Amino acid sequence: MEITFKGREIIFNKEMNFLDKLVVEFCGILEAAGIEYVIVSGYVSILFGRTRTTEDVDMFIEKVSKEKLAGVLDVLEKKGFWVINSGSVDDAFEILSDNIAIRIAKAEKTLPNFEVKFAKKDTDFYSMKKRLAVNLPDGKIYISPIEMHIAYKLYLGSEKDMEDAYHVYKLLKNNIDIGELKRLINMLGVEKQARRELAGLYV
Amino acid sequence: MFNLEELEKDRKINRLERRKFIDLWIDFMEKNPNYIWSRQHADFVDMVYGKK
Repeated sequence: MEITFKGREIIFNKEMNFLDKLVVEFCGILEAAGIEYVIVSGYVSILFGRTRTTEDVDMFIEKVSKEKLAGVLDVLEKKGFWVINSGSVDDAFEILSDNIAIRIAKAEKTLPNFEVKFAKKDTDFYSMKKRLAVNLPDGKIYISPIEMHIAYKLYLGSEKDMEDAYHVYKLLKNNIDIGELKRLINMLGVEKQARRELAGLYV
Repeated sequence: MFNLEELEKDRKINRLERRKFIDLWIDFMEKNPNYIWSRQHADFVDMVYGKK
């Protein structure tokens, strides 16, 4: 399959669906504003062909100043996006500073939306630091390292999360660092779940 | 009172069946060039969002 791993970069030729195109557009605006980000959770699995959809795309951004946030929100508005759960820059910045997400969607839409948070936890910073660049036919996006994606899905633990982890592990297990995956599984305390869900990891 | 034992047994069966479906889908992905599997996947995603 045409998924090529080159260090921290993935070259992925695929048919771009509506969600992929929206993500590329949104991430392009963050990138142009010089805001570091990483996409985590469900969309990562969907990007790699998981047969489900989602109402939101989760992402962490670096903590930025209110002025920088104002700049990117202005560009987003001009490009046809709106912040669903906030009516002003001050409010949006306060929400983010309280470690809560702001949700951004296309104008007059609520779904799907981008659930944007400031990175705050160790796991967020890990994903940010080791993010992978994915080169798609329509542009580049950054996603969490596959090893963290799998381990964190096991940690979240719902049926949907377990299946997200299983899908990505089964598809990409020959392209990831198995030692790092086991280390993260251990650090998140989910070895029992990994032994149950990820056939072959510990044989 | 519902038969909780039966419900739990059914949940386990469903869980296994869903895993088998993921296996089948990934097998399909691996045996087909990207633009075959991802076209089908794109049709599915686009349909959910009402784009096609």
